[in-house]
Amino acid sequence: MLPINRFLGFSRVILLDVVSITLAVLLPLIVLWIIYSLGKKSKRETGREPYVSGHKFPSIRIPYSPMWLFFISYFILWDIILIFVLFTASGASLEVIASLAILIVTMAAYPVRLRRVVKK
Amino acid sequence: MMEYVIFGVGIICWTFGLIFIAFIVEWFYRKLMGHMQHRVGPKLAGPIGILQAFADFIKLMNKEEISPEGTDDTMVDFLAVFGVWLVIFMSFLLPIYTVHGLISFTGDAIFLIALFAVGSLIYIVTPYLFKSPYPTVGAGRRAELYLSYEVPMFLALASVMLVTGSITISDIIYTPLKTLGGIPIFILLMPALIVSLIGVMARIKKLPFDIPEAKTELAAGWEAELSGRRLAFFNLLTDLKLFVGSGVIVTFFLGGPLGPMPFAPGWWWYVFWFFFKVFIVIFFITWIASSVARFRIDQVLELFWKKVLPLSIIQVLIILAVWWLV
Repeated sequence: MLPINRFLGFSRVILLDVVSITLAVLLPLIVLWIIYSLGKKSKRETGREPYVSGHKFPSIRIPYSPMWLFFISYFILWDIILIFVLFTASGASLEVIASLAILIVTMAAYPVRLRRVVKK
Repeated sequence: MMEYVIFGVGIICWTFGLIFIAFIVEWFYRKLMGHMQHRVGPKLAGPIGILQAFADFIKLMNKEEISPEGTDDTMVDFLAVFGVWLVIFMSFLLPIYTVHGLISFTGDAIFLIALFAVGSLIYIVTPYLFKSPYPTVGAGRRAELYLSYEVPMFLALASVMLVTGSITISDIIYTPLKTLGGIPIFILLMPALIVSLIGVMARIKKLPFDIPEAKTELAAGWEAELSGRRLAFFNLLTDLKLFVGSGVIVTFFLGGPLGPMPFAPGWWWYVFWFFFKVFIVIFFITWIASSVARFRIDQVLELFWKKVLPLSIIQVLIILAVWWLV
């Protein structure tokens, strides 16, 4: 193992145990949250500025349909799963591939379904 | 038990180290862009202005945050921290000090791409939490941009995995050194490298793809309502993404931490070459950003759907053709 591994304690590079993964996930989050908490919080509970520009505009409704956001989220999940299927098709079991394929088809159809619901 | 404690200390050191590197990256970007545009760039904080990004961060952390009425403050605070955390977690997968990342497993390349994709969602969701027109328009633009660059970039990175025949980063870094049918793979993957470079630039919203913030039209767009510590963290997120995005390009196309010699004298050798290559990629990104004016949204969509996407498809076809011929 390389010296820096021993120095930093990264002797087990392939992390498979739950404690190591939990440490890798939680510690940066805690450190960042502490740094974030050191920042100055807003003390204005009421009468906050409507916009940082200082102009008085009424709060507006989002001009975009929320369905757009759902579509983006589904698109992200869809292409990740598609890549998984593409590259693991030879190694994974048939049940896994079949279930992922069904998931892809369902997710591809879901925005269409959502559009109908939103229109109603 | 002691092993976990040392490991935990290592993780904390890594986190602070990466934040420090993000400040250096921003200084490098701004200084280089300044010189390319015949300006001086940052020069006041620290020697040759090297502490400017750190000073900006401290200044923003000490400013009071102001948000419009009706803002979901808790969610915005969460996303500011979560975004930075996500990129730091991505860095655990990059092979910086050896031929594999701090976290390495079969399929980690796909996991890295997946985290990259999820990170983009933060830029789209956060502006919607402010009931303000500028961020909302910026978020819409960001979403359109995301749909445009995601597919070509996935295809480009997927073509590297196709050539390698592996979805593990520790295998992928050796790919550019090999040949396929007598042709160096680095040459074969040139279209994918170009597509990925454009994709990373669009992902981190650097010029000419900064249409979601478009300061002259949208008053900073998606980040118009960010202030104080939130703005500090989102700026940090952008700098970290510049580093990690360049790191992804280095890992997939430029041999990661491997140097020109077939041996490595020690861990510092890998660290040196990884950072050297990352800063070369950042140099090219800065060069393009300082030379090209911002695109309009229709020009970006045309570029990605009519030019970059076909280029990435051609790349996959080239790989398949060489395979078939060999």
